[in-house]
Amino acid sequence: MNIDRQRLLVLGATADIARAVAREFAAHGCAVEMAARNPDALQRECQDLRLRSGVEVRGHVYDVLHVEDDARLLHALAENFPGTTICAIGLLHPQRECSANVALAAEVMHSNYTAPARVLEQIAAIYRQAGAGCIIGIASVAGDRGRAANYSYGSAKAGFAVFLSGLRASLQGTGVRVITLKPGFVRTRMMQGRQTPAVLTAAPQELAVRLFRLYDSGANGVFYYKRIWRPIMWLICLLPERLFMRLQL
Amino acid sequence: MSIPPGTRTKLCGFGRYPTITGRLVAARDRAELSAVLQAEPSLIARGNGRSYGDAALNADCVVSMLGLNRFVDFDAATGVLVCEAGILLAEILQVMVPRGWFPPVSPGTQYVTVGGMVAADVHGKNAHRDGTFGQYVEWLELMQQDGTIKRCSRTRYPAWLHATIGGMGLTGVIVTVAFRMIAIRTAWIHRELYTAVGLGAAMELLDRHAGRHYTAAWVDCHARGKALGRAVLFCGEHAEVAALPPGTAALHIPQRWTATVPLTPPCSLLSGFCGRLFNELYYPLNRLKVRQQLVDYQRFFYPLDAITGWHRLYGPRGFCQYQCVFPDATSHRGVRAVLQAQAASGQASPLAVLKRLSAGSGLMSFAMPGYTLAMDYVASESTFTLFRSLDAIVAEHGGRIYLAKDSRADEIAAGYPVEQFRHFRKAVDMRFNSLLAERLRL
Ligand SMILES: Cc1cc2nc3c(=O)[nH]c(=O)nc-3n(C[C@H](O)[C@H](O)[C@H](O)COP(=O)(O)OP(=O)(O)OC[C@H]3O[C@@H](n4cnc5c(N)ncnc54)[C@H](O)[C@@H]3O)c2cc1C
Ligand SMILES: NC(=O)c1ccc[n+]([C@@H]2O[C@H](COP(=O)([O-])OP(=O)(O)OC[C@H]3O[C@@H](n4cnc5c(N)ncnc54)[C@H](OP(=O)(O)O)[C@@H]3O)[C@@H](O)[C@H]2O)c1
Repeated sequence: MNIDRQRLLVLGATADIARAVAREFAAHGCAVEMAARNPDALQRECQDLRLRSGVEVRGHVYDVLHVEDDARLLHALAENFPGTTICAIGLLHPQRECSANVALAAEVMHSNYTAPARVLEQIAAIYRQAGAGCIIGIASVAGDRGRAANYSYGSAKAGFAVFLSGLRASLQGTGVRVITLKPGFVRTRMMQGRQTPAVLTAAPQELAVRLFRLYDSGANGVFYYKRIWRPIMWLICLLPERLFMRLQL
Repeated sequence: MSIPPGTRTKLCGFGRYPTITGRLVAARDRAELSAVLQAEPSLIARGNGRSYGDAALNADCVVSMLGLNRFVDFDAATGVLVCEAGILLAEILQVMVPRGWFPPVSPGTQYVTVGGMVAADVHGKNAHRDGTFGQYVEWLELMQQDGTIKRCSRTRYPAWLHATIGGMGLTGVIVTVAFRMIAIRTAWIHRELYTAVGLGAAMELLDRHAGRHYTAAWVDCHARGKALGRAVLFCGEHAEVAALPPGTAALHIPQRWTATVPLTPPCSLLSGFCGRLFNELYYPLNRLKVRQQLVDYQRFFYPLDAITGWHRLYGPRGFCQYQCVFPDATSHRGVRAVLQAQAASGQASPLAVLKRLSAGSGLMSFAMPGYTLAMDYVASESTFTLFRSLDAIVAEHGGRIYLAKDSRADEIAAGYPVEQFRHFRKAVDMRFNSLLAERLRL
């Protein structure tokens, strides 16, 4: 398959983080393939990006929970397959609701882990065969240690992060990279209604700038944003379980 | 459709006076916006909070429009840009300047939203010649309380358009705006500076340069007697390619020196600083008589934007701006009386901006043919006392004050068609409401 290095595939293109990332890549001349589940919102984002950047932008209606959407998407991309894929799909519901409703909990787990892993595995196969490509997965600091406040979401993100690290290892030496990005707090729709400390909170644009730099420098590995989250999570992971439970972090 | 949850937070305008604790709800598309509007009994739209006072404040619910920030369409044949109302002027400039397009009207900061520019019918340095922003609006989409959208233009729902331009968010929420841009060949402005020894000379200079694309004057508010109203006049024209030094990329936006004020000092530092700035400009220039320079558009239009948070230098109490306009017939007397009164009050503003305006394009527009004067003060009781005496001068001379800058007046009926506006609001919807509207009984 023909891989186009100057083309980006965005899964979950209507996510606030995805919009910022798409804009940043487009500003550097990348064509963008936008995949998202809400057709109206998708169309608006595509038009916005086209007008802002002047690059080629195409939209694909895609719901990661619909298995049959994979084939349609991959087929539509086949001619000029984007050399970089970012997955920004994520779903967060309050733990209370997840605990009370196992179907909802399952949806959260699928949306954050099993479903994105399913499609990324297929894309990785294409890259592996072509001997080039870059996969960027957005995991979360919430996946580093299970908290009472969001363990359905957190455990799925943990699974996703482990999937990405395994994928990275398996692609070693093939010319394919995998970047795991673990954001802390980012000011997006997902965080609406929550007050978070300013020093730990990033704007989607800053994250996008940092991510493009990582991508551009040939990075391959796990990265936090903001960077302060790496030592914070390292410390949190070091806490003995008893202490961690008592602290109710 | 789920309703986005709000955040309880401190809210204020650019002057940080007044500050309230309120609920801020962010909508990111029209479906969410419509859900919010249907659920909330009282609310006001908020752009980027660059109005100085309480225009974008409501005790129950404030709806942030910053998430509706998409480009929708651009027609290079007509220059008409269609965009969502929450987009920042700064973003438009960044995208459109390199393609050779410029906003038809631009306020003194680029960190305003298009919705805010319509709602305040803003004026720029070309107001003497080209009018206000509302004039360039081809149509806009206005969302009503039931979540439905009216597309208002000069032919469809013209009364709605008229009331919404300058309507301070009180007629509904502006969702989309289509406006005409102007073509430019470079990102540079040919600037000329002149000095005027007193107020008469300053106004005469502004009149003499009325043919220029952009004009504005800085007035030294500390000067008294004969020197009252001494000023530096700025004129500008969009530069042609031939005027640029060879090798300059004509439409490239130059990188800019920027800084951030890290914290609010315990007292105002700005008065002394601005006074010195003025003198440093005035005296050397006064010997030269005129100085010509090529400056990039950011330095010309938005000099203060380079310093993020500069207004914090006014100290913890916040500050207020007094901006008024006098009709042509009384302009000279009115401006002189205001400058005298504030110099005599012993708390003169460091600087005032003096400009010529022409008519605004909305029912409640601030602009009218005549001179406008704008001055900043630290918020305090004595400032408010001074403002009340300035109000009397404004009323006596048939002028009006600018709602986008106001945070404390208790009466504006003499200057605006308030009855007519209130009538319109009552007929349609009183749920769009702000602290400003309550205070002034709009
Ligand atoms: C440094 C500085 C310089 C300035 N210079 C000038 C100048 O030269 N000329 C001038 O005219 N003004 C000037 N202003 C004032 C500024 O242009 C106006 O106050 C403008 O309205 C601010 O836009 P905003 O997006 O920040 O709106 P906000 O301050 O958030 O809101 C202002 C008003 O607009 C309404 N509004 C905002 N968005 C919408 C929407 N989508 N739908 C309905 N209503 C809405 C709000 O309800 C409110 O009444 C200046 C301000 C600053 C801070
Ligand atoms: N914000 C933070 O603080 C933070 C922190 C750590 C990690 N993250 C992660 O960052 C990523 C982006 O999130 P965000 O903050 O930008 O929030 P967001 O705007 O809510 O993004 C989540 C996106 O996932 C999409 N999505 C959910 N289920 C889907 C499905 N079945 N099929 C297709 N798309 C689906 C949503 O689509 P719709 O637009 O149609 O709803 C939405 O665009 C997520 O993976 C999130 O978990 C965010």
